[in-house]
Amino acid sequence: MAAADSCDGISTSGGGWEKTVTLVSSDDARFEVREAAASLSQTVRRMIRAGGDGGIPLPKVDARTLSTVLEYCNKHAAVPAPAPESSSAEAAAVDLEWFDKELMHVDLATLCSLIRAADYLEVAGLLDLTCKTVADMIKSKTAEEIRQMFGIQNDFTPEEEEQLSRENAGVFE
Amino acid sequence: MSMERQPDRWRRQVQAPDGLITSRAKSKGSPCLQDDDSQSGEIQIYSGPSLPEDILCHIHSLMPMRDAAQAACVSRAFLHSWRSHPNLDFSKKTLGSNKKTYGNGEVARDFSSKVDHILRKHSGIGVKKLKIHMPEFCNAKDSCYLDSWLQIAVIPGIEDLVLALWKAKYNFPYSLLSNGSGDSIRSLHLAGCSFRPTSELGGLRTLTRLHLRDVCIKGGELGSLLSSSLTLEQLEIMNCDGIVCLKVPCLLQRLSNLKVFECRTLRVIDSKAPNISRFSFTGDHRVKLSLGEALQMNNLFMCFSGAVHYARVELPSSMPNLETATIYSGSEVYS
Repeated sequence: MAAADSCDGISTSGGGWEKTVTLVSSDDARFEVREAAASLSQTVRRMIRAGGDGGIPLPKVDARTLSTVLEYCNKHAAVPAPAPESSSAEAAAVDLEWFDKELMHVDLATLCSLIRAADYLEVAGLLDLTCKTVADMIKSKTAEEIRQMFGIQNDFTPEEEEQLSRENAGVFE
Repeated sequence: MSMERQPDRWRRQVQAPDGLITSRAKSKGSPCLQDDDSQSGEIQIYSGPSLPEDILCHIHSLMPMRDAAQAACVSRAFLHSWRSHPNLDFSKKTLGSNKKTYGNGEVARDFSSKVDHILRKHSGIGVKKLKIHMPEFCNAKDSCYLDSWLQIAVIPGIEDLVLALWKAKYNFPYSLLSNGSGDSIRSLHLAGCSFRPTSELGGLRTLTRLHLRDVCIKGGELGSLLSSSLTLEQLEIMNCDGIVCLKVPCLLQRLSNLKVFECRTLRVIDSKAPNISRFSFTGDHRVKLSLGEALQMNNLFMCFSGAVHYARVELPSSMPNLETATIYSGSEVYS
């Protein structure tokens, strides 16, 4: 792969040299990030390959959201693949799980921003994590509460709604 | 967990003029409200978080079955998502069929009619996990439903199948797995039925876990399945009468965990799988155990009359990496 212009330079990390790229958020904040971490985003990976000047523009993600996405990418890209079933693999998995859990301690609006960003940037692991978190958040809510949370319109006729409620009551109560 | 939304659905978003992401699938009847199109003349006032419809449906698919069913009332899109819910888990607990006022027969009838209702309305698309834990006291009629249920839900793409019966005279239709679902299934757990795999219908090429409990299967039938299921990592056989000789071929390079419990007709376990690290066995002292080189064996659990003698004679030489050995033996005398 030819070196892309958007790869801004080489920086040190733990005594070694690593290639970095610059990502530019919708509100023009610039983030210098290791290429290995940025490449967890398939969208960014394609843009690195395509090359370009002055950093990679990400017009659909604001600085606050991008900062959290990159926190996730930096952590997950740092984890080497240890031998399965080894104690270090287990410890690394527990650490990562703890990190993910902490990262998800945010409100619904922030979670939704993260989901849209993870979808646009194609960071599969983060998209799974955020969607699962929202699924857990809404699983005990009523239909009306879920509609209100996401601004979903009820597009059933009253008759259809009544029939559905009756069916559910027959099966699950 | 891997992302289950299809890649071609990932780019269904368009950038609205003001920078908000909206769903291209949006229409007049769209249940999702991210409408910022002031030119439509109908301004929706909603300041909460919004998500594209396909993402909302994906989130809905991640909910447990019972919650997903309740949430089907949210909108037509959610109802559509419920009709292709990927994780179907049917038990007395999930369906609430364990009311104390029910007699035994009523529990079984209630369970069957509920599962039948859900599966007949299911589109048969997208099922990844199907778990059926039939209640006790199911009669022949209740078992008759099984064929149609499995035909609806055991489809290509299924990864996890659990069918747990109470010693029913039910023959699991192995031919079902030859429709392409045998190429996606990773975990198969059968209990209380007959299982007759044949070499003509091919193996299960992606199977990693096979659990059989109270299953009628012959050693040859199991052998033919094992010899063509090369990705197997865990094999557990419990209370399966009908197997006299259990042969585990050396082709099973990935098999790391082998458990054999209380199979009364079993007389020989002959394993040549080279990478087994955990082996557990309880049963009859007449069973002849042969575990091959067993160089990777790390954890051993054995409970049978004569187990101590076996451990003293066999273990030091053949299992150099053994860390934990748990041996139970009844009334064994040695010097």
